[in-house]
Amino acid sequence: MTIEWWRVYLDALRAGDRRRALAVVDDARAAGLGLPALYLDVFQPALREVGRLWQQNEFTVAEEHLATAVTQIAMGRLYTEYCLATNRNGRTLLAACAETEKHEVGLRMICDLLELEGWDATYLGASVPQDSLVAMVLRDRPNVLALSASLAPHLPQLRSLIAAVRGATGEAVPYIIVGGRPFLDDHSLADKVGADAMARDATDAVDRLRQRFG
Amino acid sequence: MTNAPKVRGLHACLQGFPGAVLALTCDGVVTDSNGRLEALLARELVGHSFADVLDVTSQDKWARLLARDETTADNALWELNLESTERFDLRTFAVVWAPDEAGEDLWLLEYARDLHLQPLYEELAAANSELVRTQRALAKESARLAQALRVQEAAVHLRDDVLAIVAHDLRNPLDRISASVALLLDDTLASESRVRLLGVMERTVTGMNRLVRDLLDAASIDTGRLALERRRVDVTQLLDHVREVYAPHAAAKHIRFECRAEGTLAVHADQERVMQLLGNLLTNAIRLTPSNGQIDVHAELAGKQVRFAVSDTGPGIPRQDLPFVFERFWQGRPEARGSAGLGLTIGKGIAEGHGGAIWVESEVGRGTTFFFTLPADGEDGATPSQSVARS
Repeated sequence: MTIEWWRVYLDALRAGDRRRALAVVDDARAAGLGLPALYLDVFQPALREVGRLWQQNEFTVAEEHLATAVTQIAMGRLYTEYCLATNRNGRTLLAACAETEKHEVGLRMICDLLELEGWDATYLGASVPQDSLVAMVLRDRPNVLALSASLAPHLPQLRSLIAAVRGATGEAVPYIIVGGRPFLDDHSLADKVGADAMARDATDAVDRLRQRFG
Repeated sequence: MTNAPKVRGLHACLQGFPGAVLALTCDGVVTDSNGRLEALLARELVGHSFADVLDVTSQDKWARLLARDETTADNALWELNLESTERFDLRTFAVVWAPDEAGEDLWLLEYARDLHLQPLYEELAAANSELVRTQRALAKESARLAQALRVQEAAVHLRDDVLAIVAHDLRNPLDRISASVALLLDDTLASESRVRLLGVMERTVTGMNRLVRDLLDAASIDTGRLALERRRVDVTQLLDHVREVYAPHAAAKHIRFECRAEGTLAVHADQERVMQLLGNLLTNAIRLTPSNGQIDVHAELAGKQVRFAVSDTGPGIPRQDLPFVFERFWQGRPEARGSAGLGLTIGKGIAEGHGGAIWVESEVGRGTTFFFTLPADGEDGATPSQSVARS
C-alpha cells in the first residue's frame, strides 16, 4: 500500500512534534520523493488541512503557527540541498506577501520550485513595507512579481501595492501574479486588485509561469 | 422588525455581545447595533446600508450574500473587508444567516477570534519571514562561496601544473644550453663541434620559445582574449603551405603525406592561427605515426563551414581517453613526452574562437582523425568546383 505521506506528516504536526515531522520528511525522501513531490504532495495538502482545522477551531493560531514554522524548517533544509545546484536560466521573480500577512508557505514553495527550474527567485515574505517593495522592483526589475494574501482583509493593501508598482514601473511593469484563499472564493478579485493572473496553488503558479516564460 | 418585544430582546442581546454586532434587513440596511462598530468607524450606521462601509473588494460578495445567490448553508462564515482599515484592528466580519420567523432579518457578527493576539502574531510572522530570508540568503551566499572556492582550487591546481611543466620542460633545455655553453668555453674545441653545439642551442631556444608561446596562448584562451586577425584565406594555398612545411618532416620518417581540398575553398580566419592549429595536429601525427605510415590532410565544404580532417595511421587513442584529449596537459603517452600537452587545448581554443568546432575519432591500432571546422568566407560560403582533387 502506498503511504500517504502528507497524512503521516500531518499527524506529526497535530502532535506538535517537530522532530517527528522532520523525520517523516527524511523518511519520505528515503522512499524516493523529490522536492516537488514533498512540496506539492506532502506539505501543501498537510498545511491545507491545518488551515481547515484552524477555521474549524480545532487548531489554535499558535498550533497553526507551529505547523507552519516546522514546515519552514523542513523547506529550509531541502532548499539548500536541491535549489542551488541548478544552472540559472536568467528568469527572475520577486515574491512577497501582503504587509501583515502571515501565511506565506505557498509563496515560498513557488520560489523554491522555480529555483529548481533555474529561476532566480528572491523571497521577501511578509512584513515588507510597500515603499521598500516598490524600490526593490525598480532596482531588480524582476520578470515576475508574485504576491499572496490569505485573508480577505489584506486585499486592499495588495491592491494599493500593485497600483504603486504599476505607477512606479510604467512600461516595464513585471508580470504580476497573485494567489491566496480570497482569490479562490471570488475569481474576479485578481482583476480587481490589478493583477495579471491568479494562481490556485503553487503547482498552478509554476505551470502558468512556465507556460508564459518557457 | 415588527414585533416590539423581539426587537427589545434583540437589542439587549446585541448590547451584551463583546464584539461589534449588527442586525440588518434582507436589503442590507442596518436596523440595530451595539454601537461598537459606530465607535470604531466614527459614523452612524443604523438606517444606512452596510455596503457603505465595505471595501470595493467585498462589494460583490456582499451583493451575492444579500441576493442569496450563494448555495452556502446557513451559519456559514463569510469574511468581508471594511473600507476604512487604517485605524482599527477590527477588520474582518463574518455573516451568520439567522432569519427570523418572517425570514426578514440578517445578523452580522464580528469575526473576532484571537483579535487581541493579532499584533503578537504579526510580530511572529515578521520574525519568521526575516529568518527565512536570512536562511535563503545565507544558503545562496554559501553556494556562491563554494563555487568560488572550486574555481580558486582549480586555479591553484592549474598553477601547480604550469609550474611543474615549466620546471620540467624549461629546465631540461636550459640544462642542455648550459652544457653546450660549458663545452663552447673550451678553447680547444674543433670548429665543427662549435657549429653543431650552436645548432643544438638554437633548436633548444626555439623549443623553449614555443613552450612559452603555448603557455601564453592557453592563458589568453582561458580569459577569452585570444586575438584573431581574420581575413579571407584560400584553403588550397593554405594546404600548399602546410605541405611545404610538414612534408619534409614526414618524409624524414618515411611517412606518406597528402594534402587535398575538395574544390575551391576559402575560410574567413586568422591564417597564422589556423597554421598553428594544423601544425599542432600534424606535429602530433608525425611524432606518433610509425615509419611507412600515412598522414592525410583533407578539406571540404560542409554547409557554411569548411571542414578540415587530419588523419594518421598512428597507434590511435583508447576510447576511455577520448573525452579528455582537449584538456590541458593531457598526454596520450606520457612516456613519449614530446610537448607540454597544450597543443590540442590551444587548437580547440583557436577553432572555437573562430566560431568553429573540433573533435576526434580514433581507433586503437588503426589511427586517429582530428576534425575541425572554420566559417567559410563570404555570405554564401565558398563556391566548390567539380570535386577536383588537388594534392
